[in-house]
Amino acid sequence: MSSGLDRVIAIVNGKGGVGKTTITANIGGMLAASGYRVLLVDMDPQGNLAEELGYTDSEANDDGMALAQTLVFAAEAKPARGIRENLDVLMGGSHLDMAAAGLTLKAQKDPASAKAALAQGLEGLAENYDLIFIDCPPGQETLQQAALAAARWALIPVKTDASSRKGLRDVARRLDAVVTINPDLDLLGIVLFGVNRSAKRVSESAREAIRQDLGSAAPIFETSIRHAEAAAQESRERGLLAFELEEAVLAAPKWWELRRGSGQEHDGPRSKSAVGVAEDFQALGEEVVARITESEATSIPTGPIKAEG
Amino acid sequence: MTTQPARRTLSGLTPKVTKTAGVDRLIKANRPTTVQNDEGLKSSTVSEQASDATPTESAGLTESVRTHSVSPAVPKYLQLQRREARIHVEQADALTMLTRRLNSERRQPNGTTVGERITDNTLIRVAIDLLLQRENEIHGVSEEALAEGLGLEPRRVGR
Repeated sequence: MSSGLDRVIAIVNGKGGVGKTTITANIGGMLAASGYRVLLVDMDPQGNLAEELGYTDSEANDDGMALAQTLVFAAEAKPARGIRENLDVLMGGSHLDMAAAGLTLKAQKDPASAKAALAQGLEGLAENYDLIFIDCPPGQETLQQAALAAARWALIPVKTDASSRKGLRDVARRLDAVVTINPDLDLLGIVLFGVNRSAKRVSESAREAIRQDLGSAAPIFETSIRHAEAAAQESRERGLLAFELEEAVLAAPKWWELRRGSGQEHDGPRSKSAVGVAEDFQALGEEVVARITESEATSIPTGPIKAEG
Repeated sequence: MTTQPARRTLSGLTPKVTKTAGVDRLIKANRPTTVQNDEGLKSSTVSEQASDATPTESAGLTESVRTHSVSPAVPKYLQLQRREARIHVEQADALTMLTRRLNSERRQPNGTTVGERITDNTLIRVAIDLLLQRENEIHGVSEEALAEGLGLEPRRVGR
């Protein structure tokens, strides 16, 4: 790992649909709202982070062009600033498909340089941020390798089904490819995503299966992110993060106010489950900060991570 | 009429493989060997970290305990299986006194300590190994008979 990249976290799983983008956006957004300076890197050619953060149709959305140029031509990384307060984004999108092809060609001549492409791009930026989160694509081996080569930590979301746990195997294979140039890469934790709160046995079985794979010391986050279809859908439709949706829901007039005529008609968010989801992300964010702080306390005496203001 | 092959005896299914092999290397501490990076620089290695293990750990009790106790990232207590046992009050008292003595012997004249903290559980694990070393000598149909067989004064409980 390059110097200065010790707070880079790759959100990764070899399988799609396990919540990588949602977690990247919500943890990043929530930490930014808490005062941390946060950079999100969308390495996914699908560019779904744009929907989560609501910048799909904004002029700033370059569909991954700037990031692709950084990866292939070592151009200076230029994140889009101020997507939220304290939150910048190196945007993903279809240009990353071409970047992946370019990196594959590069890897034939100089494998280490291809793998280190993102790390080099982030080196100049890292000092501006307290935390950097990389949303990794489920496929695209070269892009995943570049992400893992730049990261100090891997955070792996899994669903309770066995197939998403198999995605761990893919991550382990990617790790093998980069561990020579990034030996410090370590597992920050595994988080269960899309969990049905009433299916406690299913959830516990999934945790047990992960412990079987990784050993009893598997760093599984206490927090799991609950399944809330309506909130997830409304979040993406409105480009609001879970905690933003929660604020909007709580601020909306209550049904009895509307019935009484004392509240104004509104077409605002209605997903009450947003409240619970936001609580889950808050708890996960706190665990992420605690684990990094704990690790830093035992390695480099930099003190706990503190938000500004 | 065609002859049907003899039916096989049903004997259950092949056990399901649940463990995904090799995934544990995602945790840095589980990676076994020194890594040489592309620039030829040696990374921090498990073997280096293992050399930091306390003298007691490296000169440990049994092969199995020693092997598992040098992992730098996972606390020893998490590598051991929890197993509760009821013991005699005087055994508990004697164990406590013994651990106190052993821990006081770890203290150096300059105020520092060497080795690892000795607990009741540490001694119980050593005692188990000592017992298992003599497993061929152990015969008996009761706790008292087992103790007597090993030349110990049997304890009488509730009599």
